[in-house]
Amino acid sequence: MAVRQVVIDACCTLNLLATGREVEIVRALELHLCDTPQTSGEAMCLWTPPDSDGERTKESTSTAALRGGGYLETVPLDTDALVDAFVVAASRIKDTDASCVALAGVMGLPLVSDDRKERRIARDMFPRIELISTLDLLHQASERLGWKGPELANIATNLRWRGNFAVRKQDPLGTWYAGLLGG
Amino acid sequence: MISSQRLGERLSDARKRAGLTQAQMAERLGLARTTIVAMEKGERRPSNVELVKFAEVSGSSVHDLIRDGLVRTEVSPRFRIALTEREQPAVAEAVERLRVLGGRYVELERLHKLHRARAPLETLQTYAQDGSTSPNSDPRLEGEDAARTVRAMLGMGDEPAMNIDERFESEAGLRIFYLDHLPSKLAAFLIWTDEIGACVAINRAHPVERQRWSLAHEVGHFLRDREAGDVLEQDDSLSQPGEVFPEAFAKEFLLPRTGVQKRFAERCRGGKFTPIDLHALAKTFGVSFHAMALRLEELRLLPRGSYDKIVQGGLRPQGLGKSDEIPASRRGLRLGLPDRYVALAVSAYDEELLSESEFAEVLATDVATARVVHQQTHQIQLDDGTQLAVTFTGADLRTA
Repeated sequence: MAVRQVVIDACCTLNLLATGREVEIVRALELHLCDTPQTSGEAMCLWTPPDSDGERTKESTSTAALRGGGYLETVPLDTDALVDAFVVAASRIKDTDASCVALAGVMGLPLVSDDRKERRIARDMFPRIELISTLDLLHQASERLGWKGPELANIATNLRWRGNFAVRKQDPLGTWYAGLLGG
Repeated sequence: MISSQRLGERLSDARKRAGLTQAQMAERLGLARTTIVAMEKGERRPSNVELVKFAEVSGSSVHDLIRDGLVRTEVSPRFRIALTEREQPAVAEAVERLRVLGGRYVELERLHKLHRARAPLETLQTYAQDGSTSPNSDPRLEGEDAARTVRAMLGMGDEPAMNIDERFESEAGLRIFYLDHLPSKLAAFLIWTDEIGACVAINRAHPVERQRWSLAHEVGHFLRDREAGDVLEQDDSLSQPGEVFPEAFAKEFLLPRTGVQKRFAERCRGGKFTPIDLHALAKTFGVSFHAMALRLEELRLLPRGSYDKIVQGGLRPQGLGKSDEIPASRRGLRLGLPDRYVALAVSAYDEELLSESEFAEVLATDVATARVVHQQTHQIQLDDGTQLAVTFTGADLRTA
């Protein structure tokens, strides 16, 4: 199967890192992730799950494993069409988000984003854009890799606690995810 | 799309903040200086490629250059002159952080279509330096009088001043932020701009008693000379003429003469007044042991030199127990932001007025931490201890 290029925003990249299984997920789905110079410089932090006293701490994380494995590439906005789309999007949303919308829209690539405002703007600008969520990736990867039971629950728990992930309203996979967390 | 003129103003602001001349900016963009001049005057709109490059070179974001609703703020020129004299780049950097936070506060209000009405203390002009005060009046007496007036306006009588952040936010319209990474000598500062009003930054590394004193001191400046702004350093001397009024205000506001006398008398009923009583009194009024001791000496409730004698006698104030840390309402994740500011940001995110990364930027933190803030803000504890998840909106409950 051919590798599929997708644009991923900074928040979803963080979610992937929070699972602790980011390389396996991307490899299983045969994805090639693209981000932008605007997002690649963002500092990223995850949290530890609560310890026995309920205390949590913050720790820095990075995309080094994804980049080192050739699964994540930064694509510059280096054509007039990309720059024009970026400026239009940036009039409505922060540069990091705007750059992903522009890259996905102009290149005709799917956009991995959970953010409601970013998704709305992407649809306004590029009505045919394909939008993918974090839970879409996790769900598909779990099926391909045969993750289930405690292993899958552990990944969902990592996403919940390390990334402080909260499911997007009306995400069709919200109930599935809540079930993994035992809710 | 914003007008070319407004875009030009923002380009000019961004270039100046980056410390670049028009010639330097022109060179970096590969344009003529006259082109930069025309862009900043709004006579020539930059192409999208030029705009992106301009943002990159100036360290600004394209979003901040072109979006609707950006609050353009300029700190008082008098303040800037004072800063230049002090040659304190660290203070200048902190002032810039406060300016940005103040601007964001106003933007959040505007996103929710809230318009700030003038707060009661903003209209109090009696103590303004350029107002009706006599040049011969004593600033110390005036500061004390102002404190009594403000206490009366806030209905505080001579009781210890609690929750002063909330009081000053609502009654004075102050925007109060607790900032990290300030130089340790810097206790607080106040800036004023027409667009955002008065913003106060307090050094988060300082003990809470010191923070309260610093805030009260800055409120003194707010009443006296808010448009000039102020930088309060820890070793600021009372002998500086401009500091007498705010320092007297802070002292009388936090340690009101009659309130202190009353509480002192209560403590003396057992026949003795010990350092333990002094410590307890300091805790009651939310001031340091040192400040409490000096106030009692000043009011002649203790003999002069009592504090020195206590310290020389080997009783270290720090040994009496740690002071309380940040008040509960600010504990949380300790972002140092006003509760109302956070609530407005959460609501804006919920209503899709902000993206998640914008939400994190407004909170001046990372995305994962912003998510915790978001989740915590939606949890309220009921009287029976149960946690309830709720959604807050900017809807006017009176018309619901």
